[in-house]
Amino acid sequence: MRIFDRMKKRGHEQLIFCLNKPTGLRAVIAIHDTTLGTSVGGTRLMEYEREEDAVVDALRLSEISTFQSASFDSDMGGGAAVLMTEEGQETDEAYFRAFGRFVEGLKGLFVAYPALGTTDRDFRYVRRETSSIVPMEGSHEITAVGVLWGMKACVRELTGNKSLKGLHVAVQGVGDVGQLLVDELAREEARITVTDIRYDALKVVQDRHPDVKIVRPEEILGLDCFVLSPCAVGRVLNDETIPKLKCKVVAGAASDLLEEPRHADALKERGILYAPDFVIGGAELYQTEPEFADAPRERLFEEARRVYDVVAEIVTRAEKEGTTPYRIAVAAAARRVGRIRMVRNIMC
Amino acid sequence: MVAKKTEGAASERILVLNPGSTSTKLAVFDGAECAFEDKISHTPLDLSRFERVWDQYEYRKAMILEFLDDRGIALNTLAAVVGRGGIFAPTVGGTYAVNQRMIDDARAAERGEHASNLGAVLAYGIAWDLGIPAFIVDPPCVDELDSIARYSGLPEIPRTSLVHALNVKATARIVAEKLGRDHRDINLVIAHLGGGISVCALKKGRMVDVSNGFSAGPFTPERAGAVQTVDLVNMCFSGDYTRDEIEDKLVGGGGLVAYLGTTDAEVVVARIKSGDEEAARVIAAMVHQIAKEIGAMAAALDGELDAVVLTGGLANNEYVIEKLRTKIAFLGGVVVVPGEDELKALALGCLRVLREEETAKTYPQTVEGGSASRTETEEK
Repeated sequence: MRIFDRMKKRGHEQLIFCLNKPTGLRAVIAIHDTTLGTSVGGTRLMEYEREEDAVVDALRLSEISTFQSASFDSDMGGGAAVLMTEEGQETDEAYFRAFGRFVEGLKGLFVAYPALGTTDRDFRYVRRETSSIVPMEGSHEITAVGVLWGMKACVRELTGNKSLKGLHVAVQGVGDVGQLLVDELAREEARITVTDIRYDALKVVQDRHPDVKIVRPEEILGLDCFVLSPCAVGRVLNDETIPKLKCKVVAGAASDLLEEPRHADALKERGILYAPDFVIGGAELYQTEPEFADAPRERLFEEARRVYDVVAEIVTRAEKEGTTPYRIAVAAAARRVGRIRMVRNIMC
Repeated sequence: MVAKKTEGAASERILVLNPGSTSTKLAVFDGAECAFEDKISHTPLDLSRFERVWDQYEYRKAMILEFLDDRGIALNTLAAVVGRGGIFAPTVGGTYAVNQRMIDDARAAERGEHASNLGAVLAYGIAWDLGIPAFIVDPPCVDELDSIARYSGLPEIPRTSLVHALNVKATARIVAEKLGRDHRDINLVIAHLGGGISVCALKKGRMVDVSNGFSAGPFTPERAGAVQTVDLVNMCFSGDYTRDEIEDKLVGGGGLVAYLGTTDAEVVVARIKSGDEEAARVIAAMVHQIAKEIGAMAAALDGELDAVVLTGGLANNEYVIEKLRTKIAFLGGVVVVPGEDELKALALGCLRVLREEETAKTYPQTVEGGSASRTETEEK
């Protein structure tokens, strides 16, 4: 794996490896771009078969983080942390405090928040060692509301109506965000099908919404539905899966959905409208903004509903320019970062 | 606890779950051999936290997984999980793949809250995460009655089947094997004798008539069985009892315990031997009622029966069995299969599907014209 080539290609600034033998901590922190400000990013905890996979995840997620900040008019840079675990590895207080020590050592260069595999509880330990974290209690609700409204923007583009009533929505993954998204979809009276690799998560959803249908994980991508909402792992949109899709819209909360950027084009060729993951799932960013630090929850939900406008604008422009929403969103994010970079050269 | 083998993958390794009101029995079978069986006890305090039986799912599942982990049973060695079936919609006998409709019915519990309703969802939940199949076998709601057996005398209250189907069906296979016959070729009257008593007429493997184990048939160690209807109505409307009190009298507080203060037939027999005449009269009455019900089921088979079978925990009681034998001797051969092995019956039902000797049924199987449309014919 040619790490420097990869960093150069995607414009990364730093890649930091952290090892703490006593606690078993093995972390990779990627700083993608700090033009807009301090890099802020999620902390993913996963089992990886190969170290390279963890590095690739850190690089990709940190780049997405930059796109996300730029798309939401945020003054934060892009970063991400990946904590590698092995099968059966315990992650206790010491483990997370060790991670906190490494983050603290970066002297504010990277600010972490919980993401896939880490929880607010884990971050209570991280916080004991560093102030460079963002409290994200309740962020899942914000994200779910943002995804819902981004989904509505896509639906309106295709049907002329933003209502989801009676539309079949398939949700892949009903973890924290997925479950809350199902709650929102149920309120919208959508016809909902869900899956997850963990039955207990499905049971929670179905106990709450007995009409929700469950399918096996391997069935969800090929389901005949209006909206497919991936809310689990990344890179589910690739050469193998895209030909199988029978949906009209892909709009989900999971990060890093495209295996490669060209897969956005492949989706368009199949007539599927894809809402860029870093836009539709970006409402959580509001929670990291100092401006909203003491804002009432309702204010955050109001902001989350603004994802509708952001997605609608991207989708409309893509249609007008004959390209994909993904390319429009990436170009817009890159343009903003580029413009601000010029300003940063001014000495003051 | 019995632990014979706890290591190694097996393509026929089956986790068997039998949730009861105060415990969850579990076993691991390698093929037809029990490698391990044990029981997790639940105190009333443990369970009092839950409003409904359904709400106990996470609690019981966590205990099962912890239990298996403690004993070194690797989940990834399992080929299937089978749970005891609950009181769901009427369906024909056999092994069923757990499906969404079954889960929905278990959650709704429209035919009654019972710990066994958790068997399907516990099996499903564990199997789902492992990507292996989940089954139930011959749930208590097996209903294969002939249409004629559904008439009760009141159109609003048709007769239904709610019996100890798991043990009855498993025992039918055991007896058939003893007789050197296929269970689908013989007629049996099987009396499951336990805390509850079910007496079933099996015509070529199908339960064409039964005495409902909850609310009909003979009185039992803890159930009243069939009582005279008008007298029961009078009691219900006397104003002296709530609905729950009446139900508790009929199921749990009736039968031997109502007359003698104990549900333990061995205790009753000991009292008889020490001269307790009332205990002797009550046991004689119970035997009398069981025998009458066996006779009724023999009649349901037009007298064409290959054997009368006595099974269940009470079949271990020699005093009761000998009294019963004497009364039903005129019907021909009596076979006693004492006790019941629900865990083994579940495992074997699952194994028949894994070995492709049977096809797993889809729940619920339609019951047409008052009788089960399909039953053992699905077996290969």
